[in-house]
Amino acid sequence: MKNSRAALVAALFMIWSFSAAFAQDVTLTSHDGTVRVSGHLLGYDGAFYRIESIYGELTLDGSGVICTGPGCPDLENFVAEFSISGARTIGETLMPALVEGFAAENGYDARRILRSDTDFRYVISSDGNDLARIDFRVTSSDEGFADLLANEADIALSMREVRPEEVARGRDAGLGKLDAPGRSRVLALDGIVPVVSPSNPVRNISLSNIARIFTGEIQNWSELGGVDAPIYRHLRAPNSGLLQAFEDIVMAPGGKPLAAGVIRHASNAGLEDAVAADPFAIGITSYSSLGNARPVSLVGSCGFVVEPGDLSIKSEDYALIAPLLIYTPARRMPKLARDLMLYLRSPAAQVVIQRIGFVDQTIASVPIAQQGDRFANAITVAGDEVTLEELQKMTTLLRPLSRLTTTFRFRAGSSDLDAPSRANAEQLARSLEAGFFDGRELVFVGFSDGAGAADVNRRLARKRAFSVRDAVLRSAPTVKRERTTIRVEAFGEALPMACDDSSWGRQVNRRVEVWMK
Amino acid sequence: MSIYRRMGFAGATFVIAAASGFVIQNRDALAAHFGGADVQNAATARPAAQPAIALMKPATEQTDIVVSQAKDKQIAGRSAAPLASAGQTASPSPKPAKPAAIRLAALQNPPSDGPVMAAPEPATVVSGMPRHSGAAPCAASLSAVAEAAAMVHLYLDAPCNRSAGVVVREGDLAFTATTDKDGLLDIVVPAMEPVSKFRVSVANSVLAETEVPVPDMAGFQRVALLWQGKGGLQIHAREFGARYGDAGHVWSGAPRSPDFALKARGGFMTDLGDAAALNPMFAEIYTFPTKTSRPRGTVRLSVEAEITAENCGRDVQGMSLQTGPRGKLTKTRLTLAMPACDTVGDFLVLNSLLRDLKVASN
Repeated sequence: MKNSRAALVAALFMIWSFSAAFAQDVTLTSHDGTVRVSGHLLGYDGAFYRIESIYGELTLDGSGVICTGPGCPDLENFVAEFSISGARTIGETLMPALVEGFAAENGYDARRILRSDTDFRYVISSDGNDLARIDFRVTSSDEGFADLLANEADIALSMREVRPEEVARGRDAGLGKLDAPGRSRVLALDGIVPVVSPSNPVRNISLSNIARIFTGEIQNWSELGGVDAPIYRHLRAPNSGLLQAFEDIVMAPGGKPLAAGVIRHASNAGLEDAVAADPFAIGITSYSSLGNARPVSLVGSCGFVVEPGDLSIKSEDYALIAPLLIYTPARRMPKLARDLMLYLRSPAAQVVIQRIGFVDQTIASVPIAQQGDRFANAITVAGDEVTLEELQKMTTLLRPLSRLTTTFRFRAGSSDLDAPSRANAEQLARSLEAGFFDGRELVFVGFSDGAGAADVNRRLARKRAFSVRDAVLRSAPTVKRERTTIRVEAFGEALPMACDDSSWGRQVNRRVEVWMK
Repeated sequence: MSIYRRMGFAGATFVIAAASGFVIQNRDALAAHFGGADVQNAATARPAAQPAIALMKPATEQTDIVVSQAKDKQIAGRSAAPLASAGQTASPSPKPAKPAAIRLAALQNPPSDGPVMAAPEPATVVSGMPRHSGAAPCAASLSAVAEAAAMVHLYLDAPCNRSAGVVVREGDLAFTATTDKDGLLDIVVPAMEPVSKFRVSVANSVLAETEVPVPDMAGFQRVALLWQGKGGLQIHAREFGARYGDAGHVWSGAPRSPDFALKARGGFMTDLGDAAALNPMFAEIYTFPTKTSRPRGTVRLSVEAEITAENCGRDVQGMSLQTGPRGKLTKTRLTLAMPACDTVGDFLVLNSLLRDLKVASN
């Protein structure tokens, strides 16, 4: 039964493929007949033609030309057509729910037409007239970029940032710089979470031991305080962006290859079900799903426990963050596609994101009373370099304030903001411009890791806090500066979030927090 | 007139539209059918009597009657507690144990050779006449009684619609049913809303409607799949890590009963729809006791569509109803593009059509 099902799905995929190219022959002629361009029509968005010609890809204003040839669109009843391809974690349930939410918000009807779980289409209509056909190909982050580069998708969904080689190929393909600010946006956040069966007695594993499990250096649960039984390792397929993000953060620093005999899964759900059923299994999945598997808490050697949660992911205090990214090429999109992109940032979309189980980007504030653990930790590790006076100064300053979940972190070994932080900067700027913080006081507070001398760290932290503040204000040109007081403070290594003995721990500690009064 | 013509077209071409690429040619028809209007084969529908679509009793009195009826009936030995707890028994005036119903003047069974598509007359209020008074011999009555596990027992008495195909609707939920030789219908339907509004219609015209408060609705979550035409779609719910065939695998082949949910042990499946109807409409509903369930975790929900000689290579039209982002039941219109006919006997398995149910810890 199971085999025939699998074969069937495979067969379906071959018989029905939505992504059959729309490319057809057209000739565009200017009204006076002096300019004439022929080629394959790549797209028409209701106003502009996009054609692949001997001159390369051209975009032509439809009002200036007459289209002839079999590929010409129906100008009277224009239906926007675009396709979305990429990560399963995003495309499986979240993106469909958002398309339906977008339709409902605008009073449109949405019909979902399915060939299979991974190959479906939405038809958006209004009063019986089709407005758009949105094709979905739900595969992996790798495939999403491949489709974008091959002109077979207009929007790519990814659980990881675009890789340099993909940026290079994108530039060659005329898509613009895919790593430029306007080309990607963070849709939501997810956490990368190690999971075990609920019947597994092991509750905590250090992140370095997670790495050693997956390299094969740790083979038996008894080495982790469990029973004497071999460890069965489960991971998503190699083309999964979630897996690649895990490899980048956890495995890459050690530089060792994955152990042989890892059991691979095409979806988070498949992995979670297999792990939940096997008391000797461990797997890496997404915070948004988890299924019936149990998340393992990450402990550091210095005693910090890192647990995935909505607030810890939103503030990136949880080390293993996977942003849900949307990439669009540098070309005009149909109006409905642009409207959909705008909707994705709206408060209504944040509600959908939350409901589906992902972490949205709404700014939340956390009063100091709910940060007891952080301050207890600070007291525990204070000593030689962080003095009691320093802690008292910090506590006095922060006590009347609330911490915003908006936190800024930096790419490994760099002073560049990471992807979620870039999105945070834009969002904070928009909130400032919208008057959300009118009459309030915002304090950018810089922190550092504990490597190196304390006074150097404090200077570094202050420098980063200033640069983050400047980046936010640059993104908010219309803000009325007199309405919000903005200050910068720095406390260096005084309030650590993770142990400094690992690269990811230091990365969590190097941050700029935003506090509000 | 024009709307009836369009619906007639819909009824004739609807159930399984041939797959022709990806153009949905019968979109209007689908919108009509799954969007609220009834599309029973309108070509044979001719309202012989004046269809009257108006309530005869004020709503407050009506709920009283429902309660008194529930007290009398104690249907199927199930507790009437949900009703009693609704606080509607406060009415001091004793009510007769008459079926609680909103009476409507009904249609006679339409003659099959009658003229096509008569426009309906304006609605007329028929005041509360007893059934056998002679004035409205065809008045149909529909009563609804809330039962445990947020189920509603529906009684239809349609003396002029014997052995007739009807469509039962509750909001977006819709399915076909057939009255018995006396024009009676007696079914148990899962409530989809805290105040469930039911409507039974025949040949595009409302026969009777009623509503009933369902006090324990908040304790349950429901997921429904609706589809047109024969050919089985099945919801498969695998509760808390259960594998296919395990005790925790709930589907039409192992549906369990509402009692199971009442004991907070797990969910149950309800199958509705009558294949004997001309244009059959089916609904399958999975109910889970979200508030009381002791086990916590994820219920995996998948849909399997059997590829049959009737649906292969064609589109099956349907709808899903799930709790949406704002906690309200939301619908999604669906078209399943069934695989080619050399796969008859196989199943199209859709794991992400319905979102898994997450039962959060308290």
